[in-house]
Amino acid sequence: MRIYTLVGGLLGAFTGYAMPIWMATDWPLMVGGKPFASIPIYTVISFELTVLFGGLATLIGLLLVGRLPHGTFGKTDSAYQPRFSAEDFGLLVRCKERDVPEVDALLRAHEAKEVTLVEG
Amino acid sequence: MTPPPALSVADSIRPLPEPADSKINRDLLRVMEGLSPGYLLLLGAAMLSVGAAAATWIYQIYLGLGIAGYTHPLFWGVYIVSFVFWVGIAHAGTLISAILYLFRAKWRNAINRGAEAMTVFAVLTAAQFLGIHVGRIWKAYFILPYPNQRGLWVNFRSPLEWDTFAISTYATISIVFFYIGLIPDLAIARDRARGWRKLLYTALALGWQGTTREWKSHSRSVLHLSGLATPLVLSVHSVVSWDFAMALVPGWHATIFAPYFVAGAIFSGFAMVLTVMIPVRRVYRLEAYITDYHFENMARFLLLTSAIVGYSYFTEYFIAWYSGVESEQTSFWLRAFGPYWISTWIMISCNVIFPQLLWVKRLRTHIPTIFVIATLINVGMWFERYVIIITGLSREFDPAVWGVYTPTWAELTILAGSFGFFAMLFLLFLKLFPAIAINEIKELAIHAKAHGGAKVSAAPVQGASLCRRCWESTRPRGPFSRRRDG
Repeated sequence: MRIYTLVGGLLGAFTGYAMPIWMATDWPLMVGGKPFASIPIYTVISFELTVLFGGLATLIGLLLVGRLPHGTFGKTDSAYQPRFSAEDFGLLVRCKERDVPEVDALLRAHEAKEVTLVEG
Repeated sequence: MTPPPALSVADSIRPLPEPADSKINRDLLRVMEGLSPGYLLLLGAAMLSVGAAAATWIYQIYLGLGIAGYTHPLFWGVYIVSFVFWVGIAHAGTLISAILYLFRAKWRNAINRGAEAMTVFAVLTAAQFLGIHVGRIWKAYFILPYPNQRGLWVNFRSPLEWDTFAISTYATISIVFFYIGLIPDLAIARDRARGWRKLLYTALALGWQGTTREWKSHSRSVLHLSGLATPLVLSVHSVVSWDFAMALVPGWHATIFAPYFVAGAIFSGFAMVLTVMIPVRRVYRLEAYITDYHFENMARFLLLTSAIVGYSYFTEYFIAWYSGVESEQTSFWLRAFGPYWISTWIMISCNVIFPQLLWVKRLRTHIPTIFVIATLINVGMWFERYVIIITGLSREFDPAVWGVYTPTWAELTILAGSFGFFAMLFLLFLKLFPAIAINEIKELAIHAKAHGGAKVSAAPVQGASLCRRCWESTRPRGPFSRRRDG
């Protein structure tokens, strides 16, 4: 997750310098002997683009790492219940058919409020 | 629970039948239900003022900026003042959501969502003024560095160009931050909505189910965005201040402008958050969530930034005198005693004198007093930008080119329309999205339950940021630790 922000930020910082420098040399304006590309000023542009690209990369990272959007539109997973967005926590344990009694016993031993078997 | 007696357009959101749904969900989703007559009246008034402003703008495009009172030597007027005003207001929202997040200030959780919404709407309002004040809006895109067949590139040495990058970055990042924070709350709303609301929230919630993977990547991204947004707050208003500081105009060409404007932005932004959240809390009976403690903390911020702004005024005057530069001295003397003396004294009294009342604890905890002072600060901060810009331009170096400027009906209509636009967006936001960050309130409640004992309360313990036990169990161990926190 951190790598997305870092790469985005570095890309922004680089673009913030590279883009104005290229543009200044592509259309060089005579400013009385001063350099065509005024580097200290480009720090402002670079900083803004660092934040912009870093932020957008973070959003992309959220979607990729968090695997969002999830599922098909309008359908939640079979194991999801709306009360998990209220005050209850849900624990999904994927197991083979033969392990079901063991998992069931384990969950009940730890005082689960409700244990439900969900197919699929 | 009987529905409120009102139109039922917004009624298609209902909590789960008791006792399945939590009190927090019920209370905070209740804000979105129903449309009361008062709400519709306010929304109608806001839309009317936006309509009037739009018509005025079209008229101005037809006739030109002359109807805005622009004349030699003043070619910046109320539009630029309002632009800086609205951008300043936007900054408090990011401060509350990003900077206070990094400081782990738990009290921010109740006002966080409202403040972020305010940021987004204020930036959108400010961006419009850029188009309005340009006059020839059909050429406004020239400021973007796009390749064109004339072989032209933009002037990166200009602060107006830096402004372009800063404001568009700020708008984008604010919207991204706002949206990411909203996703879990949208999932809560999705599970309880029907009809068009269910469609809307399902689309926006991206199938969020609150799995560990989702939450982990979510809190990571909020942390990174907070880290990015913090320097952004400082830089954006500094860049806006450099619109003035990079010019040679007496009264403008000072190095104090960047910190002065940033402090002023935080000042006016907090005042606007208070002006908005005090009535919202009252109308929707959210006293259990936004407590007097929150407002007292914000009043303390007002006091702090008022002191910084007051000190900046003093420094400006002192340096103008101490420098011995005649044009500076004249400019500042004329601010207080020249044609704009009323604006200057409004500015000083509203920004420096009245907020000093907040030193008194009894006044600081009295909500109507805070509301009045916050509104006065909003007025005062608008006048501060007015004083800086107008007095600067009207009294430049050569007395032969001095001029006087008065705002015209066109500018004042558009200014009123900007307040209407902001109000309209905020009112729509109240009915469409949870105005208080439900998941963050739950975090506080769970925390209080785990450590505080029997009473489950959304209000933070006074003075607590993160309790020692939570901090000890979650902090990373050493610089290269693979322990993931947060």
